[in-house]
Amino acid sequence: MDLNRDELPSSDESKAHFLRLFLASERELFRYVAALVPDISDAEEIVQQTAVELWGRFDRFDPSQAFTPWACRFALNVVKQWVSRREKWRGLLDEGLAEQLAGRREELRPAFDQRMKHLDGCLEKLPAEQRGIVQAYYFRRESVEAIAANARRSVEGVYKVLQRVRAMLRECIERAMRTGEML
Amino acid sequence: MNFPSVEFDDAVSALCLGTASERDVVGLHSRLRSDPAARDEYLWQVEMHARLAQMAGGEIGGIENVRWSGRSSGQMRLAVAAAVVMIFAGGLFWSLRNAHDNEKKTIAAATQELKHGSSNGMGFQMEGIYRETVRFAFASDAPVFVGTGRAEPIALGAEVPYTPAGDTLHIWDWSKSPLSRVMKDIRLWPTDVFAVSPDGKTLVIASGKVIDLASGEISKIDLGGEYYLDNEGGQLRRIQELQFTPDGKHLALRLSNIVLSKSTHPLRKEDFDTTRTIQIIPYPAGGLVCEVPAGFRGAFSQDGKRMATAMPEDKAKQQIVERNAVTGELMREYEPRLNEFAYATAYSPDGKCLAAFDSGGGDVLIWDTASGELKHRVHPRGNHAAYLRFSPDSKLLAVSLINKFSIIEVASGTIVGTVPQDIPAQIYWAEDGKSFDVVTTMTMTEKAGKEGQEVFDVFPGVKHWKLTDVEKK
Repeated sequence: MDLNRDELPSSDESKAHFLRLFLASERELFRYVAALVPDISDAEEIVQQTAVELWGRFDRFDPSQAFTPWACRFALNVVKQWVSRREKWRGLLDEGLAEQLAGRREELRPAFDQRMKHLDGCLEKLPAEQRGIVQAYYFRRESVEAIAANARRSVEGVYKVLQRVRAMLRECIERAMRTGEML
Repeated sequence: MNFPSVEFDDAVSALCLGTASERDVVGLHSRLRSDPAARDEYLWQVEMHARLAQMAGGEIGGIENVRWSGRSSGQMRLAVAAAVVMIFAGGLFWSLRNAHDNEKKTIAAATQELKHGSSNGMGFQMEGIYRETVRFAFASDAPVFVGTGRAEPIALGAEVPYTPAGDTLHIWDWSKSPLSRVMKDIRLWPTDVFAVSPDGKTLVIASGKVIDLASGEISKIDLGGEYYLDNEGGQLRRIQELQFTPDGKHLALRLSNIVLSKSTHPLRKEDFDTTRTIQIIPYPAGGLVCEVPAGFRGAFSQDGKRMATAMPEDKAKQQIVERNAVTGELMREYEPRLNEFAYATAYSPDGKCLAAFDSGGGDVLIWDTASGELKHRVHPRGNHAAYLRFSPDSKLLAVSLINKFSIIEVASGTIVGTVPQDIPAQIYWAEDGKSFDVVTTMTMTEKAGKEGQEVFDVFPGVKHWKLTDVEKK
């Protein structure tokens, strides 16, 4: 079927309002979900499903309240649904671990925000090869196998580099926090 | 699982990278339930991981500037934003939502590729920039660009609160007015693929619609179809990108081609895959001149007879490959290979030089097209989106990067001037080569507003430079 796009109706104010709020919250929402389900593609999928849930219930959103916490509550439910379909992940639901992690992250968030201001500067300080692997994996979303082939490293070696890089970045950030450099 | 321990760190890392075994996941969750210190450590590590993931498409050293910029903006954000838009459009997102997980990722990846060929930075196109709510295309030889917007005129450099209703054709000619001219009766959607002729007089949309930008008169060219499929179940886009050759006599179509092969799965007859090619189409007559494998980025010589792309399209260590744009014949494979990707390529107007920007190390390589010899490797240093443009006399090469703009003297390969700039910009030399305009390509920003952080569409802004001012700096 050939859509005649010229005849599609314009979106209404409600949709515009929702999109504005969602787009503004989306980054925090992703981080919230990733604290529970860290794999990037899984977290993205959960955020997408959350968007659908939120839109379906947007008529119940109280505009006098903040949007992001409301969205995070839905995201937690979507995470639980996702986990319940995966046997090995069910431990996240035991003894309220998901809620504990979400709650603790909220407490730590100001500290995270403060520290992550140094992330850019610390990335610049990484050795060239490690920086290249970070860019390939996180920025260009290349597979670890492709990165390994290009970098002439083993796949396991690339995983190790990525793990080591996060540790190095953290050390750098802590150092920067202590010395107050780069801000 | 002990904490702290290497085993704990390995398990967190495996969770982040999607390689966690059942033992990793179960062991880690068990430890997290019982140990508050382990919880804090875990949250630290995954927060770092998530923030790195959100920098997708960004540049180390310029992250804040590019996080939301144009065609290189994060894939994650694009994917999610696309999904949100699709909520309203119906169709594809719902089919993704209901699909089996494994299939979902396959379908999502294939559809993402077909819908957003240029969004992952792998595109041939050099002039179109967009995100889901706004899109622009630039004339290569006229002070003109077109874009999508609402019904009111929009000023150069304007930041307009985001709304999803920007579906009207706007034309900016910055030599005449800072405001756009609005063609209220012509719909142009941010998801459309389109190109402007080098003289800025004509807009061609992948649907085959040709719009005279002065009169609004509409004609057609047969481009073979914009989509393979466009219905309530989603879209399979055939034409990913459009580009005019510099002489305006041809259109380059970057295509995703469907390949069906016999499946080995007992329940499925065929498997689905795609290949990418570039077709060269005579303009305005239509037809087919040649079809060649698609490469990363690309440029045409001034006479439109040669084209250069970086191969292989999706892997680092690319090589600049030159083809005859009439026959498709391979003419030269330039040495050395790049360290990473060719984020920009450009021919000099006299056709004697070919330049490429290498994302790995940030070098600009300049070759002699007659001999194939590498003449210069220049180091403006940057590793993200870049624009290259030779001056009309071919003696200077302008390089627009994040944070700076440099001018290279081609004969000596030396940088003769650098000025700061926030984001990469299209480059327009004056005919006498003594000044130039830079046109910013950022399309989105966030600002604090009444409802917290609000999203704004950012429209291209223009800055004029005299060469003497740049050289002084």
